[in-house]
Amino acid sequence: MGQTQDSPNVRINTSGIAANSYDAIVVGSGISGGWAAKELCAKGLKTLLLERGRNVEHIKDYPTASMRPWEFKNRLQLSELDREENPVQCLAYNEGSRHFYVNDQQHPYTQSKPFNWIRGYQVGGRSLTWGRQTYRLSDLDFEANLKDGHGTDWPIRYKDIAPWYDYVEKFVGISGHPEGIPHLPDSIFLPPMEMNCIEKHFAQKVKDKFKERYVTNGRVANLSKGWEGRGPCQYRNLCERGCPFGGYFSSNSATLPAAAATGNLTIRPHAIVYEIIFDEQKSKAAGVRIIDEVTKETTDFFANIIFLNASTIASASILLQSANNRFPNGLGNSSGQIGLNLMDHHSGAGATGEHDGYKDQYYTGRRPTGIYVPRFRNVSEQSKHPDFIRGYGFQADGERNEWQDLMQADNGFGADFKKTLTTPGPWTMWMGAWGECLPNPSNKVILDHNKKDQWGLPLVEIDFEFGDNEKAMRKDAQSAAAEMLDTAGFNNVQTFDYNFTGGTTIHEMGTARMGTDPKTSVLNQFNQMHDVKNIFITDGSCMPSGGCQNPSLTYMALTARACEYAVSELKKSNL
Amino acid sequence: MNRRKAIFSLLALGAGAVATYSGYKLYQVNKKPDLFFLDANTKLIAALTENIIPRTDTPGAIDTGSPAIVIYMIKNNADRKTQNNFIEGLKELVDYTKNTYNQPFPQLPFATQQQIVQRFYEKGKNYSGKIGKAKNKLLGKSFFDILKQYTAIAYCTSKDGATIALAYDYIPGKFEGCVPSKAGQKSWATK
Repeated sequence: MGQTQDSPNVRINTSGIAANSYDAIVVGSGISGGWAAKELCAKGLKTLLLERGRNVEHIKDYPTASMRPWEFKNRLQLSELDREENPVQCLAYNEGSRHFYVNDQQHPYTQSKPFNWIRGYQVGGRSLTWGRQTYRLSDLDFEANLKDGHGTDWPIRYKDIAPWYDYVEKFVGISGHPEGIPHLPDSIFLPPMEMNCIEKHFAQKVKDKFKERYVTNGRVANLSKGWEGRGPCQYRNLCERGCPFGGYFSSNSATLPAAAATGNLTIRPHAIVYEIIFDEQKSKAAGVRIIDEVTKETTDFFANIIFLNASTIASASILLQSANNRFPNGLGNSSGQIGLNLMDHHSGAGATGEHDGYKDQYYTGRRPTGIYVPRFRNVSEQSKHPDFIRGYGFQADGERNEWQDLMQADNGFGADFKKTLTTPGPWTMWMGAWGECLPNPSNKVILDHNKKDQWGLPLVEIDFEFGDNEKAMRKDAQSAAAEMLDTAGFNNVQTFDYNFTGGTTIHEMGTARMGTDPKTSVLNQFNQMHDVKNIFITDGSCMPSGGCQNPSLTYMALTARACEYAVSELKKSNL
Repeated sequence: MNRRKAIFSLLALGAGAVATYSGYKLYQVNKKPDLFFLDANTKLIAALTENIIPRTDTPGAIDTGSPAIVIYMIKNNADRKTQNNFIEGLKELVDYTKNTYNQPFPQLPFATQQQIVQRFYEKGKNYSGKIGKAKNKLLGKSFFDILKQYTAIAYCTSKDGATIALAYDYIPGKFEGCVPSKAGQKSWATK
């Protein structure tokens, strides 16, 4: 790039400042970076989108999307090689989605305590493989830190973000059912994906028996009708392979094509950020120095504003890597908070049960979501729990047992077993809690300068574990789930706790938190760095607390809001 | 992480020392597996898979090409314990058949084959229950369970297994949550 051959012996580097200058640089093309690119391009800014991995073009680069089970060599099972080479990533992928996950050998990190850092280094990032559950936060979440003293107060409240939730939802397309629950505000919905028989039964029984507990259709960024030229969802439930119908929201299917349509977008794949270049005289970021993933050459790019959307752990590590004379502990780190307060959600505790009824009912199509039980602990005086603060919501789904379940039962072999295996078994329900993790400064990301990756960058070191509050919540989630299943007439109710290590929910948050006080926070109320005014960070790292809701929708809304602010400041020549 | 993935990952986890167990057994399950034995016994493995899922009014394991997939998965997907338990189980079955019937398994009448598999099914049952679970963790699954589960996976993900014995909807295009099941309703092949 930027080199022309003038004569056989003379190479002239033409990649001067002018050639590599843009109005804005966005680092990372995942769910928040895609939004930043779309918004900035739409506002007329020439925008460079840096992505450390390869390019993935919508539809064209989804090689497994249309494959049938028997077309996979390994029949979608993990191999021993997967478990040996990719012990972390293989927790999340299967044979159909493996190509959207990094290789653990190629991209090592240091685990002070076990932590599963699951990543997708490609254009689109993890927006290709995300779970697509989309829930708004509410003031119950925005006021939580202030009220119980964990972490620092959010600099915004629900009223500040509500119009931006509206704004992004109108573009994303979210199917769901309005419930009017104060602490789980409704989104702007496309029609919900309906419940099956056992779920309707369960919802009714819960409604009859429990106050303050609701059961609603999973709110999901899958299109129950055609939207913005995408979809509708074809109910294949193969989202993680990339969708040739554009049936769910990803950067690749939605924000990047919109950004590209403006003519203002340049995507630079294979661009690993080495550091953010700081101009000490202007006290601003001047640009970004990258290392080409393949050639390992370095190149400098320049811009007036920089959006850092590399994902929670990577964004923190980029800032720590960008230490300089003015900021010896990491760029914009006068607060010392960068890398601290790493959060995930805890998941994988709940209960299962079987139901004898509805044996004459089945379903058709593969719905890419389940049902949701919004948080019901610590939402009011009456619902205060003695053992923990904050709360959890249940994601659940009902289905009839099929061969994947039945093959594991003690049910013999031969013609009778074959009949059992190929006939719908009893209805079952699985309920698992997704719970809040308190911000805690001892859960953190630092750089391990003793070890370098193949690009010469220090390894990221992650030091994280769930605390007592999370453990108490998991205990309650098991008994609460069992109680609800019992009430709804399920039998063989069994509680479970998979004891997932940190990171397994893939909801990393919190390493560059927003706040009003520059002494205790990294970003202001518009996701602008207190210390370096032309850097904005709108990925999960900005979160002062995590709520218990799946967080991507909030990143999208905060990103669009920050873009509006950044461009207005730019126009006022404040940046 | 979604439900399905969580459950499958759980199955994949095998580690965790449970209790001290006879050193010889631990050696047996952890030694370098004799994978050549699989290729030398393809007819036997095929006959065994057919015993698990025989041809009825729909295709059986052999019709669907499942035996080759079972062998492939034992070689590539199974951990060492599973490989050893499967291969040792095969060897035991070969010996038992030879000593009892003086004929190779595939040449015996199907009813006799079923009796032999029944014997190994009973044997595998020792592994159920709480103690069995701990044993499973340490020593791996029984020969019968391995044979059964790999046969089921191979069969249900095969073209004819999925589309004839089960119901496969390539592109459903819609979702309906409550649909009356028909007489002889087949299960969906994919979730």
